[in-house]
Amino acid sequence: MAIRRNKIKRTSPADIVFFTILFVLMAVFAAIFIYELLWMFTGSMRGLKEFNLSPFKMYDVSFENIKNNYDKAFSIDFNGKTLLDMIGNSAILVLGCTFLNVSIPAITGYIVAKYNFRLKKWISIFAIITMVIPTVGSVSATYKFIFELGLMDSFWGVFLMAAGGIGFSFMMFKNFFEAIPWEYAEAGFIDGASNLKVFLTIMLPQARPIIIAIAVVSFIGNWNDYYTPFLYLKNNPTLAVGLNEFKNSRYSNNWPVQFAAMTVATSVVLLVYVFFNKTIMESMSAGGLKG
Amino acid sequence: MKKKLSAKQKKDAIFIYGFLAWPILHFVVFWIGMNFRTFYDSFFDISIVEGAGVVYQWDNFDNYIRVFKIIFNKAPYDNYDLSGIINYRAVTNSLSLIPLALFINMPLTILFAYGIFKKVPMYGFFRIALFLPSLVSSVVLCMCFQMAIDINRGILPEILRWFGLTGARGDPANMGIIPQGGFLADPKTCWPMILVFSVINGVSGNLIYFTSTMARLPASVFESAELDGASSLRQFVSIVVPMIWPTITTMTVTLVAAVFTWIMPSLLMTDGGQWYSTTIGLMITQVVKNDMYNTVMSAFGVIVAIFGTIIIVSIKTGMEKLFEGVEY
Repeated sequence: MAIRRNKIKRTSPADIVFFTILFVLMAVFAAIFIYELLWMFTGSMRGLKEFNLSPFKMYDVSFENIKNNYDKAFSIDFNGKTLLDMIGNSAILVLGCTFLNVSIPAITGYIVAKYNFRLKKWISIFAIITMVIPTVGSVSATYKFIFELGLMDSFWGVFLMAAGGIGFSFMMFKNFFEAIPWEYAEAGFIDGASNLKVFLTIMLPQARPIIIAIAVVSFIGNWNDYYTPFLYLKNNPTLAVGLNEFKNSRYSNNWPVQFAAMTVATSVVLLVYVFFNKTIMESMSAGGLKG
Repeated sequence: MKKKLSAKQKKDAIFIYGFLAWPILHFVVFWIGMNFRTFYDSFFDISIVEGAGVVYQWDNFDNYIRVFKIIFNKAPYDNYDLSGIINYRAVTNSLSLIPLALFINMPLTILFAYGIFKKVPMYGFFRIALFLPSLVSSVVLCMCFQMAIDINRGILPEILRWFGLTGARGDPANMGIIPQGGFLADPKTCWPMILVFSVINGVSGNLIYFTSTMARLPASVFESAELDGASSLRQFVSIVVPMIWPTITTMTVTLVAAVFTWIMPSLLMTDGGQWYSTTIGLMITQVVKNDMYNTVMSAFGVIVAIFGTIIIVSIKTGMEKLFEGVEY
């Protein structure tokens, strides 16, 4: 793997123009994202009256308003569910789905990468097919299937759907395990270890970075997921679904309270990202796509 | 020796098929099974009959005819109003996302990744800031965007006010270029506004893959190019783009495939696709949620799968022909 210096050498006028335009574009986009988050965060600490008078101020925050807005956000009741209930539902969904999104693709990816068997090639082909063919129409059949199984409004139904092993995560694990030398496993086999023991004690620990990366990506994806709970968990709304309900609640015009709920939802993923940022970036570089 | 080897093979087979049984079964049920059922259902009319339960009635190609009528004759279907859930604009809107993905979002993402790779000033900050929309829930992003373009309290109307394009805040008689109900409540501006949202929030999705792919490019190639006097712009066009072309192709394929399941902004910002802002994915989802036995949407799904695959494979094949993969 190459380590290099990439510092821009502004040697030609064309480069100066190119990088200036690029810098401005990047700055504009970054400013929009930062502004949105700052507006949301500071807005959650402002009073409704002050906010309505001057929506763009970001400094007239007060402890009283923080308490008031967050109290209101947490006390809201959507069909008997509070924000805390929704956070609980999100936590159940995230923990279950993240475990399944990591464990099943990990062992599938390992077996396909390291063993020779009849279906080996086909499983990789299936994974690519699932990414290429748009199967949005199957929503109807899946919805009916979950309904017929009696799993509508049940976390088990969502877990069942999430428990697939052939998809994008599988490809990531497969690529990663292909790069790990088989000699490690052979040493284990000589010591009398079984296939499962070799996987669990020798190969899996080496895949720690990619496991963390996929777990974090899965955590963030499931925490933010609106679509699945919207369709399959009508009476067990998650935080993402609940947030959207604020627009139709008695706080529909009270943006500071809405900002408070949005800040709660966003803080969780930002914290996770801050803690695991380096691992994600390194794993994507090591096991990600080759250009 | 031979016996021992076959015992090992046996153990291997038990391990392999034991652990692959579930993922394969899951794939067979949830991918092959569900798609087959969609295809099967598309030839039937399903109704609930008291005493008989769910009744399937052979419907020939009627569902497909209905779909084409919706698309080409712009005809309302059954009790659904044309401006409502089922709408020919679902197709045109979804298809309009393809050029947006190919010619705006993808080039911007690659350029931003190159800026980070080449360490433009504040590149560390940009790497995090530009990745933010990938972390934040689309519900939050949509709510922020709606608020930012709100007539009375949004930043966009405020900016337009600075330029004299609209009147004083809260003055309905002097809205200027802003539609009376706001940007998201007018058929002329609703979909374009959603496209703006998609451009703003769509650049960050694949940024991490491009920056990591660029980080793997061999330093020697750039050193040689610099010795030959190649500018950074030239390096981007002649070295970076051809060398990361397989990643660009893969990401383009996933982006275009995502167009057909693209739902969230319309669902969240326009009360489920009002003002001609629905998409294929949203239309199917809403109909299924209202009436899961509606088989017209199964036919629609089959048509989308066929034409979507043709579009995706054509783009993939075309892109693969443009540059050959470079080994390094």
